[in-house]
Amino acid sequence: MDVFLGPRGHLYTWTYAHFPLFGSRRADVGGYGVGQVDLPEGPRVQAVLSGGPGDFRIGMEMELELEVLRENSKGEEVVIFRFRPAGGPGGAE
Amino acid sequence: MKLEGVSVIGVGMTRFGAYRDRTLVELAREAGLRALDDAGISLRDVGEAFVGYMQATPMAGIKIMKEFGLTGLPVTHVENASATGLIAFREAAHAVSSGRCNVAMALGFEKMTELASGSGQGRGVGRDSIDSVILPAAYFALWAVRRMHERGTKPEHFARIAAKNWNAGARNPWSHRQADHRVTIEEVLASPKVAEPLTAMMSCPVSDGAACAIVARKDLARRLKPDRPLVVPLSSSLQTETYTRGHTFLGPVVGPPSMTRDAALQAYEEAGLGPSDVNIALVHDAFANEELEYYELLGFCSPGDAEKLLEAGETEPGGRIPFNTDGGLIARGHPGGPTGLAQIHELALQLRGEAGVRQVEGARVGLAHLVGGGSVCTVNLLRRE
Repeated sequence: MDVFLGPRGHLYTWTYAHFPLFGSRRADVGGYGVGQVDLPEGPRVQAVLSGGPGDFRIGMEMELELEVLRENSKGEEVVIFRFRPAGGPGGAE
Repeated sequence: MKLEGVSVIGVGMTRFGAYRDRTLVELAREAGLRALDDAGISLRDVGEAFVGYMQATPMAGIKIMKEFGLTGLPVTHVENASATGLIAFREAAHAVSSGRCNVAMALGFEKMTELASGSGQGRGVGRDSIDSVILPAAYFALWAVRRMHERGTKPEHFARIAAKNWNAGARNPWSHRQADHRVTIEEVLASPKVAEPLTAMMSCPVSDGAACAIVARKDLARRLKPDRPLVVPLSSSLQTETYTRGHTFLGPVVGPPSMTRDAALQAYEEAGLGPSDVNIALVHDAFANEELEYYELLGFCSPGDAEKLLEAGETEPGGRIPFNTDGGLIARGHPGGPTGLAQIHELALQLRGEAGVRQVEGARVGLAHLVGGGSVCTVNLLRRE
């Protein structure tokens, strides 16, 4: 049975990686958030978070967004998903 | 499966470090020859070899074994991420225990400095996949932030473990990091942040090196070194992830912390021992907060009491259950393939009573634990007889 997962969940835990690596390339940012998000459908998903180290609190609502990582040789966008605090930085209560 | 009638007869290692001018072959040869010399045997006496590494070309292990001689012995490659060295040891112990051979060698080697300065690939996934964008420090930092939320743990707790292991490394000639002063909690906290709340000094270094352990039937061990206590592997568990609610499928390179509890229960049961029998524990402290979790998961205190065990100094040298007496991954280093065999090296010296200034008085039972990406966990129990 297929279960379609919605774009929202709650933050189970998080961290903020301070080294400027993003996979195999140097990121143009000072660091990035990483978290685990509990989806209401059941799974816990680990993903990159957008926002700064002061933006995350365990239990806060998160929503999914897509980020373009690069273009492949055919000119197609390679995207990954990441989560951000729902309602923008600081999050919705 | 319980191990029967096996003893560690020889150990050897290089000091771990950043060896940009030394080849894998040189490092592996140094460790292997030391172990053969410690055992008092030559390659002709070795019935099988298990070689462990994470990042090298496919034939590296077979080629490197030719450095010791061409005796036709079976050589098998072992790769289980960070747990590789202990799994090579496990295979060697089982080869002897099962009667396949009388003497078996486990050899691990690695140059992590070449990986670290390279493309950043090699974690088993292609570039830009969802697994490759998150580095290991973050995975373990996720445990740390959650524990701080649930238990009120402070960064000072993690720093205290890191300082303990740095200071242990300074007493170990094989350790990569050997501080020239007593490392303090404040110093660990003040080092650069790697991933909240972990700092650089709470994290293992990028190391190169090699380590080797040789196991044999007990009767051979007694004949070779009649005056030496036997160092007997009793059990070696190896587990992959077991599903529970809240399991994270996408993303992690390390499984849930409960893997350590399950692997430990299996190892204790097979050995007929419990945590109260263990005198020394070497664990996967790639990041300091891991060690705190393992105090509980390996059964040395109740869930929620790890901070108290630490604060009471029970896991320091001279405490009830000293952890990572050789400096652990944080100080001794973590080159991947040889890491677990460095743990066996330390346990063999400790159980023989040959660990010098690091000696745990009256050590009879030792535990070696590693987790590895993918993910796997192994717990090994060895006893002095």
